[in-house]
Amino acid sequence: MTDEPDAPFDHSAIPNEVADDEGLHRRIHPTFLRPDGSVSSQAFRDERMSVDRAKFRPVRDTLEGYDGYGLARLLTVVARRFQQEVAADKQLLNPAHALVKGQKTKGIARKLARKAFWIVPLSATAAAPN
Amino acid sequence: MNARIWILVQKAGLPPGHVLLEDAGALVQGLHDALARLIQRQLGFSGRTRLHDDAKRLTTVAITDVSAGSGVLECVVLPVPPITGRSPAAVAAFDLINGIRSFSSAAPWPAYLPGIVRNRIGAAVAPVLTETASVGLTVEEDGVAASCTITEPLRAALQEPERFQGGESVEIVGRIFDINIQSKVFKMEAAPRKVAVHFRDDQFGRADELRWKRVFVKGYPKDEQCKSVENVEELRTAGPDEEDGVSVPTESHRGERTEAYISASGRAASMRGLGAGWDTYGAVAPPERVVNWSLHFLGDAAGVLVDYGIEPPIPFVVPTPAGGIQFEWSREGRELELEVAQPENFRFLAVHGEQEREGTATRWEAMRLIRWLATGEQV
Repeated sequence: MTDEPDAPFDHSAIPNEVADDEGLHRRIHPTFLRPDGSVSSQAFRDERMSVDRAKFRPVRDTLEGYDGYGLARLLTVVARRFQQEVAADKQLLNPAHALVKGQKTKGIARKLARKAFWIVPLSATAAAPN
Repeated sequence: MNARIWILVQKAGLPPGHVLLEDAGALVQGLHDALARLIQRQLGFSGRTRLHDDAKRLTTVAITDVSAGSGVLECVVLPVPPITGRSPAAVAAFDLINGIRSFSSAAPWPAYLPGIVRNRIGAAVAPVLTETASVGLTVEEDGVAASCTITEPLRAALQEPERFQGGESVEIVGRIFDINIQSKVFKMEAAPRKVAVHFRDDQFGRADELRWKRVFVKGYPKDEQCKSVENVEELRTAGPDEEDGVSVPTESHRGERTEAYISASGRAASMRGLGAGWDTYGAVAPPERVVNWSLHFLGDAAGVLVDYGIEPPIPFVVPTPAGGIQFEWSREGRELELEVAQPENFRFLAVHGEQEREGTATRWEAMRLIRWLATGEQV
């Protein structure tokens, strides 16, 4: 995707506000892959759901050390439409970290899952990670 | 609107609008037992074990009147909180009456109406029936009604005892209350029946060790009514989860032979290896007992659908980050997510077009939701 940083990023330049048009990346375990290629709602149930801000962290970094996982992207504006608060949660080793906070009923989790799209897809035959 | 049930007693020699207490007692008790047994079966439990409290609690039918005209006992099905859909007793009453009707039009007994249910309703009408008498049953709910009339020949068919096949194994759980060393027979109280078990010489020590205990026996019926059992293949102390009663493995495990169960079971096997934090975000691995219980429930639900000739839909099975199991189905525009967080603890999401409903569910509601998914029938 085009909004991924292609060079090391100046961490201090990462804004504290997450813009509506920012993509949010979440690792997807192969067991969440449904037969139709979509993601189970269970991948989006955490009340404090960890994500990486796509603009500020390369995909390879998000997936580093997580062989066999896929990566899905959710737009910030979509999460906010479903009463979720999207807030930066900078960490020492991952300043692009953010949280999607809010109660995720089964209905909301399902909608988030349906609105997410693959960045690194899992195939139906994906092997479970070690 | 609550469903209503009418028991119409046509008996010569009584003034209109009157029902003898003894007849009313037998009919009311028998109808209650038959409905409760049917509900127990629809909850996915064996009909031959002791009546579960859950099945009793869901059988809420009250007498409201004895009508003038013929002797008609009027009953109403009361709501059972927190169940919000159709009342279990109304569902069971329709099944009971439709099952009896289909048999009286020369069809075989439907699989959803097991012997123990038929026997109960047969015994209920027996004291009332003579050559000329009859008992009518009618249920009505939201403008839909079903009726049947039970006469003496039908009563006899209803009371026909369940027949066991000699070549098919049975499993019996109950307490040994009598043991005869010389004839190598012990008797078990396997509610609601007693069974004599013939053991072999080499099983003597084991039987002696287990006297007066609750035991599990796997053997073969010696007679059609399974009053005694021989060729014992397994004899051991019964586990706390094993219920007293007689069960036929091919019947109690019928759901486990369905594609839905086999597929889910295969998926679940791959989840047994998940460790803590498996989703990389701190997910809890589903404990073995939750996985096993969820699969067992699915097998029970599939078995109930098979009884009704409905092909159980194949679920997609997924672990939840909280350590539970979720079944997901999609059929003809209906979608259902059923989450088992802990045994007997269900949450669901049902979606049909723009309509969406979610919340917690009882076991009954979980069963009905799966049926809704499979058929579109009202929950």
